[in-house]
Amino acid sequence: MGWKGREPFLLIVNALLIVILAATTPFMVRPDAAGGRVLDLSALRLLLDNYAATFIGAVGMTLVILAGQIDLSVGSALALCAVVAAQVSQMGWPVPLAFLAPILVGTLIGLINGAIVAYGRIHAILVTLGMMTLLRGLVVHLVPAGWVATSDAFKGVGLARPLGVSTSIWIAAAFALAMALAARYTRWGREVYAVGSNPNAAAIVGIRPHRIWFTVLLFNGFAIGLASAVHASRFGVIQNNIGQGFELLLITAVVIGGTSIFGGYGSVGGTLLGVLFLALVRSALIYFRIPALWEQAVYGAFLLFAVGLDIARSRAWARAWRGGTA
Amino acid sequence: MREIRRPGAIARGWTREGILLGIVAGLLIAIALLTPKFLTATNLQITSRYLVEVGLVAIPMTMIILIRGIDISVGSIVALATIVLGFSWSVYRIPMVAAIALALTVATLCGLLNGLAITRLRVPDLVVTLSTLAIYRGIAEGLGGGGRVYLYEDPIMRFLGEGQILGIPVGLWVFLPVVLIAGLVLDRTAWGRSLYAIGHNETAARFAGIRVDRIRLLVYTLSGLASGVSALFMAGRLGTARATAGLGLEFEVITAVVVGGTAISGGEGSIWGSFLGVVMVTALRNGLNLIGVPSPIQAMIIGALLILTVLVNENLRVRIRGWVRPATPVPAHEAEPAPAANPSPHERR
Repeated sequence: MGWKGREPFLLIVNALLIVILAATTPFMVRPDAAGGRVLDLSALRLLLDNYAATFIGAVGMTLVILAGQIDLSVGSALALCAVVAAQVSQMGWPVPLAFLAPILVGTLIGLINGAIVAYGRIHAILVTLGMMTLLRGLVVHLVPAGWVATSDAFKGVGLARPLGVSTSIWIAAAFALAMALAARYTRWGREVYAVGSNPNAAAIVGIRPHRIWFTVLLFNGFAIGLASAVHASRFGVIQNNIGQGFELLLITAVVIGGTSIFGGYGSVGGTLLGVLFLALVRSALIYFRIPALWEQAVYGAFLLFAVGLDIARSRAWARAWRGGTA
Repeated sequence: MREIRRPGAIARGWTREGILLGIVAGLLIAIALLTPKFLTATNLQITSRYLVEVGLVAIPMTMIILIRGIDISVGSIVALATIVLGFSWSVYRIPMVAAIALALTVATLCGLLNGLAITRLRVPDLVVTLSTLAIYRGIAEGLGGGGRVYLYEDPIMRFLGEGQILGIPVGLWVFLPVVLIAGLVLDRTAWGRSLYAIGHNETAARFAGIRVDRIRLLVYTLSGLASGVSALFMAGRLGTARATAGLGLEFEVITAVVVGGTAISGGEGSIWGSFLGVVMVTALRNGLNLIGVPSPIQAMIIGALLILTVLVNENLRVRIRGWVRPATPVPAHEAEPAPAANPSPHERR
């Protein structure tokens, strides 16, 4: 698939956004000694840094949607895992263990979601909607003060910059690359696409759809655990309302990135460009002084627009296909 | 074989509603035994006001889930209606009656927009209402600017929020007739039966001449209107209008409907069941409140309740068919030739 999808279009749009932002706002531009304007890429790096957790979560969500499922519990799961990370780091756990703890918790959440959806045969909307409320309740209960902070050593990991790029970005990049390769070249990855396009057909050729649904949701839990570890180590302070609207952000990014909401079509690379697009839009909103209160409305509109595009595309294909064979 | 009943005929033996009625009665008795505060007039007054807010939205939600849809934007419609109501009244100084009419119009339009996007653009229900969940709440927040408006000085709002007729809160006077009418419409009219037909098999319903898209559009519009009415009662009860109104309402409503026995895979369920589900969820919340369970733990319990009921409902449906008749009378043309022709919800989607 690769370059036949929406990726080239998104690349151009993102590049245009960056150029417009650089030309009209102080984004990526700093005054030099003589009073002129010089390009400064550190803003872009900061942007990627802040969105590292979103990149990781969006990659997990891509696989879930590719397989024809959905996960609405990601926001609450992110909050719970981040709280766990902060609390164990405060309890004096060594940094690697404190990094591992949220990943384990996330994987456990994914395991429960996946088991109920795949083997309880319930639609993922309901399971993850229930899980979203359940986990948020747990977070609020665990954090009566409203926020927790991580230990300084734990935060140090997120702030470190080996080879000039922060650890968050290294982790996100490694994870995204691994998943892009897994989706494209492994047997499991191809089975995810097959189940997403047509679970019945996949079952006939010997793939077990329920097993694929179980693994993608399990895997998404792992991704959210990793994302929360990255988030917690980057920001250091975890409020009990973090992650609200995270599911919307991820689903929007995935769909803007060209993945079909019906499953079976799309790519990890597109999703990464989708996240970058939303991040740039957010910067634009800030620089053009549009109040942050409108942000949700903008994301929602983008989601609807992207799905509309997706459906228009599949209709056009269907027409072309009929025209070609008739 | 499923027994085929005439629509509206009274079922003999155990129906799902019968079982649910028993569970709800047991729950109410248990709460009453656990805390003496439950059966006081004040508490029942307060709880029934909350019940009305959830229940009004649960009625169209039942219809939506019956035709295999979902509407998770209802909480945001409540927020937008509340903000429109409060700010048009206090900032633009229009009379309260006009503000109410405006809020209801906006809410209905929100529902209509959902329906149009679903029927015309053919975007899946979940995606449309997830987007509008963000869009409507975002607009409410943008318009509200993070502020709030106090409404309790207005007599109409006070009446909606605190008023009672013959000792019964105003909301119940609206809600109970609506339940009765909606329940009868679903059981006894061709329009109501067509919802079940669509939920069972949309293609078959189309071939049978049912105007599926028109019905879907209407049902989503009704959902918007009901959210608007619910917003009025909520604004009256709270005495304030702010953009956080109705946060998480969709969850309570969907839980109530699903607990009430409506199948998420469509085609099975009833308004009566949803009514019992609403009573159960609100009584549970109120009981937990009175016993002193903190609100986050309540959310966890209700979240677990949602997952558990669906697990039981969807998985036992096939197995219990031998001794529990389906709550929904099955239209004759939907009768299945053999019990084996009953695929899992996944395959039916």
